[in-house]
Amino acid sequence: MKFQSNIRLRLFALALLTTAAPFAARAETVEAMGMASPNDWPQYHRSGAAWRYSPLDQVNRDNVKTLKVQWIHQPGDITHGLQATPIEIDGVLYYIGAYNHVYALDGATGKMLWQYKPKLASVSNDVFYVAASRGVTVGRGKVFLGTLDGRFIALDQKTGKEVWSRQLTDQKKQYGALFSSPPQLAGDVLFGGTTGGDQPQRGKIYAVNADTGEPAWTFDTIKDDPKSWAGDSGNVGGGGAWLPGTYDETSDTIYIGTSNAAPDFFGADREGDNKYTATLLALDPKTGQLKWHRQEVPHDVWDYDAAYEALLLPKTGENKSGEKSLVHLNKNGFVFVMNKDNGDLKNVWKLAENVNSVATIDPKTGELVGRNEPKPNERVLLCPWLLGARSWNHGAYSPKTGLWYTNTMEACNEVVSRRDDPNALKTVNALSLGVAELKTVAPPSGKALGRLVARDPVTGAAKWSVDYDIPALSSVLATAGGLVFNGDVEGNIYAYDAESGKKLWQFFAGSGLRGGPISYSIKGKQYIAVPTGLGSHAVGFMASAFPKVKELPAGAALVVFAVN
Amino acid sequence: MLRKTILPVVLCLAALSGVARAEDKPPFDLSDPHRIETGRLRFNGSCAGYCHGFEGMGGNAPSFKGRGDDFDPDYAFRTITNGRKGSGDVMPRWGGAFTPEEIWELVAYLEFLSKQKT
Repeated sequence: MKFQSNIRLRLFALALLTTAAPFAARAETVEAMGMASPNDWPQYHRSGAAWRYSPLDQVNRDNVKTLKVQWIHQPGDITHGLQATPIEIDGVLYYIGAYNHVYALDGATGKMLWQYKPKLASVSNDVFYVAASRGVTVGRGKVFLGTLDGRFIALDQKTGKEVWSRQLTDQKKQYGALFSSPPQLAGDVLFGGTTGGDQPQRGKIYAVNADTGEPAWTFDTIKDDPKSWAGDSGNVGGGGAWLPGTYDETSDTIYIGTSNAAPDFFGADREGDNKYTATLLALDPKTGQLKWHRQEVPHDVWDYDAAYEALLLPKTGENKSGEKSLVHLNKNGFVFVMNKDNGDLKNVWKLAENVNSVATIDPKTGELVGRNEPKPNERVLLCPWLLGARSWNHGAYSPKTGLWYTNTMEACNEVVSRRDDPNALKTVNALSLGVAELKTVAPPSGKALGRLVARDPVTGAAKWSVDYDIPALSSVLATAGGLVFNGDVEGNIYAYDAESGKKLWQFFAGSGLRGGPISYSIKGKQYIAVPTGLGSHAVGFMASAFPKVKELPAGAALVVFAVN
Repeated sequence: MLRKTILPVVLCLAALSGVARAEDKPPFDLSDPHRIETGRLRFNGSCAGYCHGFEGMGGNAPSFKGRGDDFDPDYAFRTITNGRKGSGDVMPRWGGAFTPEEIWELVAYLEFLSKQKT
């Protein structure tokens, strides 16, 4: 009872804080942004720097072997597993399960404080990207979600009651465009993009007023320029910004990446560079105007999205050379290092071992050299495969080690491209892949596998790596305790020494990981919260190259650990 | 009046119980090589990429290739048409995307695969 009161008091204090948030001082440096609110996990990537790093060190290299389960919460529906990264603020943990079911839990005990289940439009049952969501966003006294039927919804942070709901897409006209990721806050602006590059749609990023839901601006990810798109090909050109963007409060800039162009593997009908697909965008949050952009894959014909996280490096710490750097992995297996304030290229380095879609990328200009494109009537081996050198599961950065930790995949596909049958592109679940054949295969060099790697984010210099028989689909967590947490698709959760990669702890959760582990502290006790439960379309696609995936059980459970 | 009330209910129950309708029967020979090839291209463009894998050998769904007598064309037609929610996964309904004839072409390809050796 006493603790309940504490929770209410905390929520009241939080409401005051969030009301005052527009007047709060912004962080002036990336380092300050990355280290703020050390006891909490207040955003999808914890901060706008996208480090996925907790400054907490109570759980550390010396005591991690005593890490024990504290509580478990099960959402009850295992459809497409548990893909969320939870949010924790002032002792309350918020997360989302299948079909946009949202929970607020006591972060110390797992006791449910409230839950919310939206009534979704029936059309959302017919779309391709069903059921799954990657999280919620909490701020301004509200919990925000993007829905499977194309809405942004705001809930009261204290009660879970709906405050406003705003329909943004028309799924019947936009090929099932939906929000599989949580919209993000940039001051009083709430923004987010839709799935995906595989639908014959015209991608858009939507922004609304976070307090009222009133539309603020819309950014068209298909550039209105005949040099970019032949004829009206842009109307079905893809370009969905399907992962959460980030807000750099030091420069008042939104970073958000876009998907591949559609049809994925057949580009003959969309001559041009196909901007702004496969592009990292820097937007003004108030107007939605483009500040700068970097298209990483002009005229993409390999399904190489640029949708992944924009990692910002601190000016201080081990990585002096990383000053003002933004580090961005493309699905094509290359990491683009650029100036975070103008997009100027500083370096491009190769993360994946097996790459043959290009001979190389010029690290000074970003030019793709020696393009190896799919062809009609001919089977062409392309590496990496369409899931990329990594799936969307995010990496982590530690300012203590100066290293970036990320999962990777070594796998390829054989493709015969083909113009899509227009009759097959009429309904909400239509996919515009542009293929006659698509077959996943092992790399020519040998075995298909996955890795967790520790790299210098600016130079790509390798520090350590761990191999997995099947690529891991979990996001990575780094902590000030000198630890890196990761999980595999079989259900094993690991803690590694951040300096050496030595395995220090392991726990079997029963079903694989697809979400994002986080860490937070309540009343001086550090917790590690790990979403478990295998699911998502990626798992289905992997099975051809990794047959054992077919035997792995689905699931959904949030497992929370601490040292006693 | 009674007829007006009962008829829709009977039709609805018939649909739910899987009673055969005109389109539930293939309008062509499922072993027709041209139909199999058309179905193969449709399968590769819509089904193989993320879900069922090349030649129906990947994904979370049971493999189609080499399935033998276990393959039921009528059940496959209904599943493709209406979609299916399984343990941890969802197959969306393709009845709105493809005509019954196009779905039967998919079934023709799947039946062809079921007779192949893995």
